[in-house]
Amino acid sequence: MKNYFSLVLFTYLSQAAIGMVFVREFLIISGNISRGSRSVLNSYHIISLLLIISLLAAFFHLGRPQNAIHAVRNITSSPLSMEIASMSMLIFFALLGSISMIYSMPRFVTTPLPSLMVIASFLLLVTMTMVYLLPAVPAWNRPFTPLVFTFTALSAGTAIMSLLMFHHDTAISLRLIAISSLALLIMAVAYITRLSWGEPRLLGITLIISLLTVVALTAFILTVRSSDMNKSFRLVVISAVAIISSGLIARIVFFLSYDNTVL
Amino acid sequence: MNKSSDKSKKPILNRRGFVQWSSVVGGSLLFSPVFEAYGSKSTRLIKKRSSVVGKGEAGDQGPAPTIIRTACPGHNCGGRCVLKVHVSGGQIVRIEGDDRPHDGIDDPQLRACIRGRGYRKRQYSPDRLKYPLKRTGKRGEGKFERISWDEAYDILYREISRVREKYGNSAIYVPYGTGSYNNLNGRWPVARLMNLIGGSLGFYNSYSWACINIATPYVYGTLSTGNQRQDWVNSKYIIMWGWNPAEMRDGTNSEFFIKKARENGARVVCIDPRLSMSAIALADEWIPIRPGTDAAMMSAMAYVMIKEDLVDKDFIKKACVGFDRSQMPEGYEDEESYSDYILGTRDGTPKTPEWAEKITRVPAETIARIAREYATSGPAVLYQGYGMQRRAYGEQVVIAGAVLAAITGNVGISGGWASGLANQVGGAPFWTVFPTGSNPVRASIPVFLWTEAIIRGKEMTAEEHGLRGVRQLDNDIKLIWNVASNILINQHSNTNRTADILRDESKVEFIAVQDNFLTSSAMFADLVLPVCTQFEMWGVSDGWKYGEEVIVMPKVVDPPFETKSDYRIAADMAERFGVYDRFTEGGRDEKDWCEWIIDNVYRRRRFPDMPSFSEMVESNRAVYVRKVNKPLVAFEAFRKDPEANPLSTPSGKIELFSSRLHRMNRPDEIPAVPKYIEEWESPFGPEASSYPLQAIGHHYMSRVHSTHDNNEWTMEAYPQLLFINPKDAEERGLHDEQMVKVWNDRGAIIIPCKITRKIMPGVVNIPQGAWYKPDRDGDDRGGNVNTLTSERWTPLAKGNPQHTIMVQVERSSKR
Amino acid sequence: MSKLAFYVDTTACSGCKACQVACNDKNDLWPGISWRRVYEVEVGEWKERDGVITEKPAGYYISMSCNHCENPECLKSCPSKALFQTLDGLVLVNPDLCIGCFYCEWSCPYGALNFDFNTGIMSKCDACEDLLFIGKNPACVDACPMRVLKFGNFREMANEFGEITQIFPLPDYSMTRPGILLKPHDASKGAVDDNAGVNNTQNYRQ
Repeated sequence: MKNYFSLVLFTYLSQAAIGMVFVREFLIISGNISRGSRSVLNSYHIISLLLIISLLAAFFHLGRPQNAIHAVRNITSSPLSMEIASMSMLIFFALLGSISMIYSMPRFVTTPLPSLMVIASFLLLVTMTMVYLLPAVPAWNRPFTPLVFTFTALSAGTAIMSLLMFHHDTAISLRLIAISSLALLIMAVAYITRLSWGEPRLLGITLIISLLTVVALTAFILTVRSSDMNKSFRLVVISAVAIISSGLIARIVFFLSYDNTVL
Repeated sequence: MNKSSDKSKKPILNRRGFVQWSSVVGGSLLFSPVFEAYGSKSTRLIKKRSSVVGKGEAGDQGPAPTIIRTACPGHNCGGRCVLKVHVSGGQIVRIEGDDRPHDGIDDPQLRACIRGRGYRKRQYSPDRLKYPLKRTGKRGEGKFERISWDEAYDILYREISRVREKYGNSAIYVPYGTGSYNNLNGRWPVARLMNLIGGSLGFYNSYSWACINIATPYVYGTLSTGNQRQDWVNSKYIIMWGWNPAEMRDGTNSEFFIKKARENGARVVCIDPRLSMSAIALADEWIPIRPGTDAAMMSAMAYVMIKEDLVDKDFIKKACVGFDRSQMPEGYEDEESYSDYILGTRDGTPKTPEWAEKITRVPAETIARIAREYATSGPAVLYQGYGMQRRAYGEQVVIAGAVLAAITGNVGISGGWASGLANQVGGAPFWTVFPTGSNPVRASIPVFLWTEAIIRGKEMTAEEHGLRGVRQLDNDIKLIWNVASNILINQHSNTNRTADILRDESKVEFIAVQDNFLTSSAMFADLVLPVCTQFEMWGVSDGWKYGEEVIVMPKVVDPPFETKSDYRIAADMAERFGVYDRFTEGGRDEKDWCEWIIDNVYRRRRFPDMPSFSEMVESNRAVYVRKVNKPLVAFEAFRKDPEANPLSTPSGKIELFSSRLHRMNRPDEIPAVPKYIEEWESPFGPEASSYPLQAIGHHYMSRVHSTHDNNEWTMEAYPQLLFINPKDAEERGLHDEQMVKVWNDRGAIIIPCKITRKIMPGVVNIPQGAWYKPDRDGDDRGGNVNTLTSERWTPLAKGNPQHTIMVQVERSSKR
Repeated sequence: MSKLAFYVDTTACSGCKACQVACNDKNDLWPGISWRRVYEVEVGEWKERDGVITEKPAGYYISMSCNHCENPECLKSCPSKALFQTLDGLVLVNPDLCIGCFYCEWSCPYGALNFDFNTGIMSKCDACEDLLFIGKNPACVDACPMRVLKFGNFREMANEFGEITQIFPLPDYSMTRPGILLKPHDASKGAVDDNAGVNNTQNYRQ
């Protein structure tokens, strides 16, 4: 099998970053957190970090990284070129954002930055989905792919954002938990239905994903009901770990499904 | 790497060569020489690209490779093919197939299969033996140390001399082995040497076709029962019974001739437990049959023919004996005739299609239909594969098939086929003509019984063990000099038993093995001698069963490291024994012998029109083929006038009832008319409760017997697997490519399984020839089917019944 | 542009893989890389009544390399334009541009592209361009012991052998307009209904 691990890392981490961008802007707009809060400030750094790790993963999965400069030559027709371009754009904005959190920057740079990041994130999500909607790979070429990509982004984004907010003692909003739970549920259901159509041998993996989903959801519900801050934090950590691990497992399964169907 | 800019790369897209080419492609001459005019520049571009892509490692840098035509190194497959070997810098850089322009049916190109095309992975395997080795650990443990050739020769000389003195020459055995098969390479030089110094224990028959070889003459009095293959196109109906020419290559182009016959209107039926490559590519109909029950189906076909009066009565009357009471041979009038058996007159069991249905699993209506079609379609071929005669009562199926051909009158006519071994009529091939001389030791054993000759040689008898030449052996086998053979461990039945016998140093006292690789047999050697491949030495590849060709094999590259040719090793030993001059006939080397073979044997006795050896070599032509324009038909004269051209059977006719077999007085196992006999290990016996699956070990595309088992290219195309039907797999909870344990009382192997619909339920298939690699628990991880096979021999031919085994399969916890 | 094509007579293809290994040898391909592959298709089911076989499966082989499509998916998906089409319609890799992302491998419905771990870039069938130059056939074509593989002008061969471009399990012709012509084996008719499957894809997994 090829080096799918780096692709698992690349897609999952960049989708987590995308999700964070979306969730963060949603929370700011809906008034749950302020733009100047420490959670938001650190979220810029985390997004940059996630993107850089995923970029490195993508870069080193290439057979000939020294040719990578050519990777956007076919931007008019290759989804991969488009993805790489969107990715570069998003990284540029994310790094700019990170720097602007440390050093002050002129307003004409910082003001449009959140909107630009949302646009770039959206583009990246769309192009990344397009990459996998290949007629030659029926296992991927179905609504399942955009569905799981979107909701993986949201679930991972919410998980990391809620961790971040708890870390900085910001009250976690019910909305966030609702989004996260919903995203997670959709993702889990999508995977489980997809897997149960497949081979019974994947039953074990289906069970693991279901179990992790249940754990994450339970932890969320307990967080909402709990008043003890320390206990809640632990619960959020548990749910985040469960979400991320189930997401990664599901992503590995996603890549493995390629081999079984292609001619 | 030259990093050219994008601009300089652009011309690839627009280079003029391609423009020109496109314009000519429209014509019927696909790749016109016009294109070549522009070739030089474009080729440069391609070469540049190729070298970057990493292909043509050696070919691209140095001067243009030398192209040498030769034969595909012979390892005893049925094919004899032509290769064009590209040599550059002392290395073979590419192997091309036959490209002689004429590719008609009279002389089709001799195109090699994957074993020849992938030969470089064998030739340049890192595992090639490089130096002589001496055993250091226990025998069979596989521990060796490097020694010099002098030391190796000393040891071998000392041991042979010791055994000759202590026991006599009959204690020395140079086993059957076909791992190298081109006159000069293989066991023949060593056989010649042994014959010059007092001989060694002889053997007869073969592992390939023991039963068909012995049984055919009981019917026809000869082994040359085959028409030339081009005659198949005159046939209307062809039954490939257990025959898979596309995979085992029963003669280069056999599959191609069947294809041509089909194009010419013949209907082709394949009867085989496997949906074989031939069943898919050559047959109009495939009939799966339970292994080992072919004689039952043949008997039921005869029943339909007799009952419906479809037999050729005139021919039977004129040319056969034993068909019914009216034509029994003199003195046997009251014995059971062929019709008596079929109709059940004596035993009370008519061999009806309904009777056969339960045994063979072939529906009665199918059996009846095939019988009618075979008897009435016009000239018809019933080709008997060799797999079904490597079984418990392999003799019966051979005779039963030949009898069907006889009673339908398909003998001696164009488009027909007499069945039996079917060596081509009209100058059968010479096989090996390198003169080995005559063996001063008169005793010879059936080839399959050599382990008996180790453990109870002196007790062997003519009746029970088929001992020939003497009444009793003087010795057990004490020294084995095994050349180009994996029979020692791998290819003989019941590998674990053989391994135990060989491990006992008090039985065989010395074993020398001569090979290209440290094979499973070489692991049991006391002395291993490294041999060069056939590309590295002169040789002559002559025909197999159907040879109308002879191929000169020049030395293409030099032997690497300290390897030597089989002939050189034997000659060096001859020097030590003081018979060098007689061995080499005054100093002939390998090339001289090839010249002798071509000029003194082939040109004089077989192909008078063939160019001389030096012309063949100088013209780099390699192959001489005598075209077959009017294929010869076996028994043509006999058919015209049986009285004037009698067969060499006791009655001079085709013997459906054999008085010779009757006189053996073992009617249960050696009946005088062909019968279906339930095998000693079968789904009908008590053994089926613990071992419910029949296992067959068919010849595999990736190997010639055990040769090429370490060839990365062929084994990638056809990996060693256990093939199992989905139904049997489901019962055992197996999934595809899972490691499974296959075992019976004799041993166990652990290999991945392949769940496939191409094998019938109740049967598993383990391709024969994989190297035996026992793990710590004694389970064979190489997947050698002989770990499971039985050493019991067939009653008449004393042959190998290796496909008659029952096994059980289950998941293995081992990885 | 005249389109080039391979023709495979699947009625008589024995699946011997001489084409595959001849290709390996000609192009020095590492084990694990096959520019030409032979798919083993199985069709139908086993059925028995009282142990007697009443129905049995069938099968056929498809020898398949790059089909040098008119409308190649790989070309569209290659991010660096390393894949290009010659004027004759051959699809080739430019090693100076290939980044080794193996995205083309995913996008090809015929599995024609192989990632070469040793060079880090994609490798694929070039229809033995160098042999075409000197007026010879690709190595695979001349290797076929059954003489069922041909290479030539698509239109001419379509006129001679019929224009069948799709059998199970190949994708529809319209997808990439491949240079492939086939003579369908009897077993391929109704293969989809008969629960057909390819039984050796794992041999070509990397």
